[in-house]
Amino acid sequence: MDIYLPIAETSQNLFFLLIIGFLAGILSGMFGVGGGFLTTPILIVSGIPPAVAVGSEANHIVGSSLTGFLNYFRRKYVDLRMGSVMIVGGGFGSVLGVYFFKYLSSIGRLEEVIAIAYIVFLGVLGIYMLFESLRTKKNKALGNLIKLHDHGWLHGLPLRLKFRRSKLYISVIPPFLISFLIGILASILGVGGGFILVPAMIYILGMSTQVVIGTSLMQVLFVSIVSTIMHSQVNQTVDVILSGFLLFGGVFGVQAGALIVQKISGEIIRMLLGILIFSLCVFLFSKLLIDPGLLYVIEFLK
Amino acid sequence: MKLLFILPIFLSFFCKTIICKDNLIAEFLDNQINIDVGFTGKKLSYFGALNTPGDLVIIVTGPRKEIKVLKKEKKIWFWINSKSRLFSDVPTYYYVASSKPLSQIKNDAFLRINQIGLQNLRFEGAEEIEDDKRLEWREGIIETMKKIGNYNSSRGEIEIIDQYLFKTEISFSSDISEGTYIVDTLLLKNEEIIGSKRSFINVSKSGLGEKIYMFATKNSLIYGFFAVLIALFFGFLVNELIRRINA
Repeated sequence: MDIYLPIAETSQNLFFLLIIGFLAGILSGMFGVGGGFLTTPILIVSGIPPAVAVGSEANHIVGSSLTGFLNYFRRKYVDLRMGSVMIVGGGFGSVLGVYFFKYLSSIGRLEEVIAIAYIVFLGVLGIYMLFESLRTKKNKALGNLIKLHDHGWLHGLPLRLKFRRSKLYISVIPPFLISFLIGILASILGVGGGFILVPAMIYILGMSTQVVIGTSLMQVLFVSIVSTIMHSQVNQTVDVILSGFLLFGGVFGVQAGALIVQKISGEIIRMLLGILIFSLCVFLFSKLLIDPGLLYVIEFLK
Repeated sequence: MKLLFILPIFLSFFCKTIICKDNLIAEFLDNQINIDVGFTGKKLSYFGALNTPGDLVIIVTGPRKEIKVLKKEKKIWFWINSKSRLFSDVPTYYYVASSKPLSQIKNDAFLRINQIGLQNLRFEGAEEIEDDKRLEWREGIIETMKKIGNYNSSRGEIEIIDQYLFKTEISFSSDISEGTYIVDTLLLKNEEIIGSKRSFINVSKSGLGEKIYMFATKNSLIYGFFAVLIALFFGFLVNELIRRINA
């Protein structure tokens, strides 16, 4: 059964959209991430115009990140002060990102930048997750504990604030910069940025792991709201029918994800996800190398 | 620009023939295509009757638009967009059906002047391209349009029943553009036009799809807030569901 997407101006299989939404929901139920890094490239490969895939995915992430955020907020696993600093950085970043997106689109480079950025990020993330899960598995077997963080140069910067929930007393500059960069990335790639933000908060900022996911979701929620509104206003590329079906599929996915987490150990899940992400990266990479068949791309102007 | 001069001549030619040589009638069962949320493409039946037997040609041309064409080239190992050009007056849809191969119906000069048949389509714009490269770009555009289903790759068939009745089907994919499509029907005998008729197909968004599209383009900022609200509602709903299940 096909459905016509009024902004994408093409039709897409209804169940296909629900399944992608379901998969993204599983990811957000398991890891508390929006799933944009998986959804956007799949949508693009399936024939949704890249610009619409990015804009609508930002809208989809608003919903999925709110679900996760509320969940962590109720259990008080959110550092509101750290989150606020990151919201400011992320907000500026995402506004800048949307204009950069428009510029790339106008010079005909958008598709390539999106593809290359995804290849790099999915590649790095996939390999990282694979190795990390294998190491944790080994360490668990040996009974070792991993040290949380080292005090480095980051902790010597000015404008220091006390982040009680994160168990940190650091400058606001690093979290601001990190969230600013991720805001730009989120707007260009149609992701929330949680999949980069979470490791950055743990390994660069050295935040207490307990509040990392909840706090990153707070930033992702805000950034995706700003990004959705900006994409609607500047590029008119948000398709509510598309994001609506993704969200609907996600309703069931989130619950399935929450159940899976209780049944299977974390390392195995991360390993499987790592493999999935890495294969998507290889697939996108091969598309750049293989003769595209059609050498011309046509864009209708109004 | 060239088209602006050719078009009136072309049109006056048609008007005259309609009045003088009214040898055919043709109609659509339905000439309106509504693109709603459930739209997956459509087939229209076009049929009519002839006063006198002859050869038929039906040409369907979608609204002409300006297009931006990106050409991919291999740089080192990677296929990337290397050049982009703007073309204007490119039909967003093109379809020809005839009762016989076109070359057997009318001479090539006539087909070329009136842009009948894919190989005779002309696009304007992109003046900076040298003449020899121009052909390459034109072929590229036509090939791409065929692949995405906007141009038909082979000549369509017209079924002629008992010499005087004819019937054909024109199909449209879900990716079609909005606007007025021109349908020209020509009746020829011994290379001479003895009857013609111009009809129109109207393609427009409708229903929920149209409302969303209009909302998104006319009030884009409010639409953005609206999109966010829907997503927030879904997010909240899911959270409540999970809480109920876990409780």
